[in-house]
Amino acid sequence: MAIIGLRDVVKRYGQTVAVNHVSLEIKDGEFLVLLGPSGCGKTTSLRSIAGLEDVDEGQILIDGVEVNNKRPAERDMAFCFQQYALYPHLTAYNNIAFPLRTQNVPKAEIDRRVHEVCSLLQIEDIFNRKPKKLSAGDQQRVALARAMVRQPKVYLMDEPLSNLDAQLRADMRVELRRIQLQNKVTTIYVTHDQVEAMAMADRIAIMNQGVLQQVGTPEEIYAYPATLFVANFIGSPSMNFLNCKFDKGSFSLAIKSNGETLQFQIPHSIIQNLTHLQDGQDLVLGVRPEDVIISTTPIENGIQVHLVITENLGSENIHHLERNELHLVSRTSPGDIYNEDQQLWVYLEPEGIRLFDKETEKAI
Amino acid sequence: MSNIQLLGLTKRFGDIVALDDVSFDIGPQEFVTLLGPTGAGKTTTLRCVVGLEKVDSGELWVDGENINNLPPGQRNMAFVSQHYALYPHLTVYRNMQFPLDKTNMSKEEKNARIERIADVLHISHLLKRFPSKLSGGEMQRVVIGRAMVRSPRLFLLDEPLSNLDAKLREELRFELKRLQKESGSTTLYVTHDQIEAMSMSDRVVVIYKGKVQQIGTPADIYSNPANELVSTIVGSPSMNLLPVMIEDGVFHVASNGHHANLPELYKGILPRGNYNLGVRPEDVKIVADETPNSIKAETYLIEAFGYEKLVQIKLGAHHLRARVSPRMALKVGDKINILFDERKVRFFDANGNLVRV
Repeated sequence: MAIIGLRDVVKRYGQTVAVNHVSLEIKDGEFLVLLGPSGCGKTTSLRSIAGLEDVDEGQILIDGVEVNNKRPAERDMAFCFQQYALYPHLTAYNNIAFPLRTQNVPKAEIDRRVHEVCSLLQIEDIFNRKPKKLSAGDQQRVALARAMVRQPKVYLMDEPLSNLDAQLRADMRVELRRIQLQNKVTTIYVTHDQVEAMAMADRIAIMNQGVLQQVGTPEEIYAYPATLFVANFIGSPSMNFLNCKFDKGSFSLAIKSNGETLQFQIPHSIIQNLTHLQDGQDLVLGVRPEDVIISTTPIENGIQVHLVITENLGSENIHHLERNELHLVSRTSPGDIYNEDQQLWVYLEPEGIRLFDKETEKAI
Repeated sequence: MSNIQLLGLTKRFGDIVALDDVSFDIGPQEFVTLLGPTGAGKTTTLRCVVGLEKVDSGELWVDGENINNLPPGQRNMAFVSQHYALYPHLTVYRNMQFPLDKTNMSKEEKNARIERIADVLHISHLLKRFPSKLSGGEMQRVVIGRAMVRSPRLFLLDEPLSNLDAKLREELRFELKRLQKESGSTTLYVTHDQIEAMSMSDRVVVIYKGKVQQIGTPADIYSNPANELVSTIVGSPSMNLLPVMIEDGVFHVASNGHHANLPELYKGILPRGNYNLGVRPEDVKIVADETPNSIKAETYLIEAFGYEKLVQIKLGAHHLRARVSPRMALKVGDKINILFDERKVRFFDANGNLVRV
């Protein structure tokens, strides 16, 4: 149980700024996911919290107390990393029990705790096997069990599920999250997989090039991305982006494509937020695929398009639509089928429209 | 634009049967995907077709011609593998020109071809660059472009997108499919990624342990998987499989003893016995009120994805997943009633095979 703080943390490797003035507070009992592409600084941030890296500037705090100078072992955190480095000469049971042995926990207590965590992870039947006799999934479970057998203040996990196949990963993330909901240990979890982040997190902190982009619940980040980077990174298929110019007189957006200009009326519901914009300002209109609604008849404020390809994913259809160089992706239920010769119009759901400043790439 | 037929291909490596009587065909301009987990025999199949492996038995036919004994160089097939190698000392243009060097095509024709394909692949601006100056996605496009300039009879792609990050994969998946559609090249594509298979293919061949499990359109394989194995390979999250006991027009859920009426379609058809009920997450409905056909359950975990929620549901010791609207208010531990969409429920017999009605 702990509150973890990062206050203006900077970490450099030579010329490279790996973590660039990151401030973040992780609440007691929270499951926070650090999300971003490879090289964004998420693992460096985690290692700094663990004490495996010294920070160049700023503070790492546990329950409000600076721990910059405390060694990893003094911080009472349990790690589980992608390379799960089990002791090859020890059985699964002894691997899991090891952290407790080093703390001189009585034998009966060790046995109780190992059994408890192993029943949660469903690995009681592999106790006597050594790591090389275990499947990748079971090795991963043993590594998780070893991290979870202690009741530390904090769990730090770096892509712990990334070596597993898709099905097992989906099942394990459920188990992991359930255990955390039960024991309420503050957890910081690093991943590059936005699906995993959305599924597991209380809040997501999304990073790019060392800079913290946004912190919020999965719903907030999905619905109100703070930057173009976040909007593009979260969600699959990605949000649609249309470059446009703001026309202040008519409160509309001029979308240029191959010489023609489409005039798109800004929905009333968001006009009030736009009064500070300059006439002619360059904007990016963002809209999620599920908010691109296809119509087979002309529709007011609609854009006429043609269908290029429909991807049938079983549970949903993904339609790729085009008008000259404009490309729009629409997500519909699997029953919605159109053909390529058909005239189609799309309508953008007003509630789903997001505007970004093209220059700063920030949400308006 | 060729017609390819694989007839009873068998291939052994020592004691291991890598391919066991594999038969399927690829029609002119068709996009067929071989889907299966690692070690299923996908790449071996591809290597046999292209001629890099000799089959132990079985026949390979292209447009009515048996090609079993034709050396790889004479099969006129283009092969793109996962490990793509461009010549580092040649520009993109020269890399793409290379396969045409040995042809007697005129210089103008070669040039026109390279430019047309570069245009389709959006790499026209890269033609003068060297491979070391390209991103992973750009490199992959060049490799595909190099394979396409020859207009081969068959285009073989072995996991061409697997080394790319998720966003780029999504983008290239669409571009590759579009390219295939526009050029009309007959294509055999290999992947372990069911989303690629579902989204790109005209037909999918699901293969496991060297045996073809099912051949069909993506929609057919998704709604009528031939066996439990296919049901778990296609779809994410995969189809729920729930052990049930069927008697007198009712199914009993083994893990919590609840029961409900069999869908009309199956009444009087399924003999008494144990089955696995298969139902896709989107066909598990969470309903407000108990109905004669609803089953009592409890929510175990809720995962919110923005455009949908996945609900992990506990039925005694067994878990199911339901895909629901993001607006549905639910929390962990809620007592709920669930209902399966009658038209979408499937049953698998004791051997794991789909019961067809």
